[in-house]
Amino acid sequence: MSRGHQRRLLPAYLATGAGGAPLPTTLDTLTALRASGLPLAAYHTPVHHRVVELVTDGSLTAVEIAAYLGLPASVGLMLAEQLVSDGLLKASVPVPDALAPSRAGRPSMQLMEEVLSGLQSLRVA
Amino acid sequence: MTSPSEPAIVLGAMTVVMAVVALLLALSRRKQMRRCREMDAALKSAEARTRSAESRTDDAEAREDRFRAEVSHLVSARLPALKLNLISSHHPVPGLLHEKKAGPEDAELLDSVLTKVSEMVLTERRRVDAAARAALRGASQDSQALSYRLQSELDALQREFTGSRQLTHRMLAADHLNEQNLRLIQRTAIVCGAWPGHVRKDTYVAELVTGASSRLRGFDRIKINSRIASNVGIVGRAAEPVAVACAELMANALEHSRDDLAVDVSLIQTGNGNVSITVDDAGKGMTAEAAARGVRLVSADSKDVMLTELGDPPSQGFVAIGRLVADYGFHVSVDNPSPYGGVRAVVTIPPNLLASIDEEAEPPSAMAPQPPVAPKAERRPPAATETPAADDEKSRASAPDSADGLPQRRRRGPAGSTGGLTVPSYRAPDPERSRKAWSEFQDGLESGRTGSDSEETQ
Repeated sequence: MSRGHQRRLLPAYLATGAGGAPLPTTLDTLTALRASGLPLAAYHTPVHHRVVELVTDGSLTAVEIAAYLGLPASVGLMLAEQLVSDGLLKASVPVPDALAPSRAGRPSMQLMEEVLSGLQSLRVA
Repeated sequence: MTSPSEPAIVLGAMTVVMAVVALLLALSRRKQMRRCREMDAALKSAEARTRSAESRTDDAEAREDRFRAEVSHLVSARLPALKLNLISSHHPVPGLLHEKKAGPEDAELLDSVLTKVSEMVLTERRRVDAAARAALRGASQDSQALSYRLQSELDALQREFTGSRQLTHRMLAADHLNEQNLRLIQRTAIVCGAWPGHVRKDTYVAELVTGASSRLRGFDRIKINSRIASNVGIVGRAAEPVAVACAELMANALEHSRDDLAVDVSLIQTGNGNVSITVDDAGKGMTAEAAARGVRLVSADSKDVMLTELGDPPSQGFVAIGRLVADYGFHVSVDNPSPYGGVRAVVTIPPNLLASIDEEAEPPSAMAPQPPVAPKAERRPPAATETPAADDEKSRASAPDSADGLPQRRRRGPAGSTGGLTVPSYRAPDPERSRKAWSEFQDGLESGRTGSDSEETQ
């Protein structure tokens, strides 16, 4: 145990609490999260409070939240899933690239092509 | 005239002779009388001597009987009692059979047997105990070192893999098991005379107590309320010992209260500068005897408690605390009742073991509870309308944007500036705003990602 190297004091499981069975994997690392405005319950840990505080004025992804709190990304995702299932956070799936408007403010070429092919297949049917 | 004088002369001569004879006789008789008296006296004294010799023999016999009785009493009653007394001082050792009749030398001799025996037993017991402690200490320290390595491995694993939630969950569970194991091993090592195993840097009190709680099964029953200024920390050398003491007290509280009851831990700084960590449980409380024993063990003079005195099952927690208290100079009290009728244990840390930590250089972890209200703010918060503005002003002043223009993370204002935590308010969804935010995000993502992609497509 050399000097300078510090033993960890606060393990990551303090953040999630000693919950029962794990929730199913529902969130992606890039899922954006924002607070739903519901109040937190007594069983929420201080970290849950901090997460809700962080996303109250905007949205962040689970990975960003984890980085802000100095937690492993996996634990950030777990926290987010717990809070989403408690209704405290709202998750929005990231918009696929194709749906985003291009720089000119118009839909991208790929999207237009997909719409066109859809229309054509409709007409054929 | 010669003839009448002849018989007179003869008579005179005879008279003289007779007188002489009578004198001689008288002399010899006196001599004899004297001898007789002397013989009488010698006889008397001889008789007296015989009598006194006889009585002395009787005395000696009586004394021998008494001594024999005392020795057999020593063997059959006093030594067995001493054996029990050496195990627990509750057992009395009886005195001599005939306390008053025994001579002081005998009493001393017999008592010295007891003293010698108990000295020998105690010396031997200390030697055996020291050997047992050394063996146990060596084994626990090795095991402790391995557990720390496992801790590092598990921590690295948690940071490396984000795959399935099932995996994360199990890694966290394994981590918690390892922490519990570490606590038990570390405690045993300390009881056997080892040091806590590592030195921390100066650590926030709230973080230290939270970290200590994480070493216990059922840590989410522990509710920590910090009412201490958030920059108060414990100096590095005392940090781990205080954590160990807190963990042991919280473990007792969890163990002795029902599974659905919380254990309240509160942190306060008292007027004389001490920091008090109070652990209240709602258990049954301790008996007066248990409390007295606890007080004795956690005090600084319990340093040489032996393994044989720990009882079965061994109560290692208090002994470990006692050793740490003796070595590091904080104070622990366990003999007060809690407000719920259980036990209130208080760890008091004197100002010389406290440090002030720069919160900007080392921001406190999100996992430790922050003081929900400022320590002094038992008054009504300022009017609700001006609170957020004032808060913003203050936090902006205390955390200016950094030199490269990146905004710094906003910290909660210094303790005392606000009435407390701002409750997250409900925000109506604003489709325009989200669209704008997302498109900006998307733009940024795209511009970063598609330096080459866009060239390919065009």
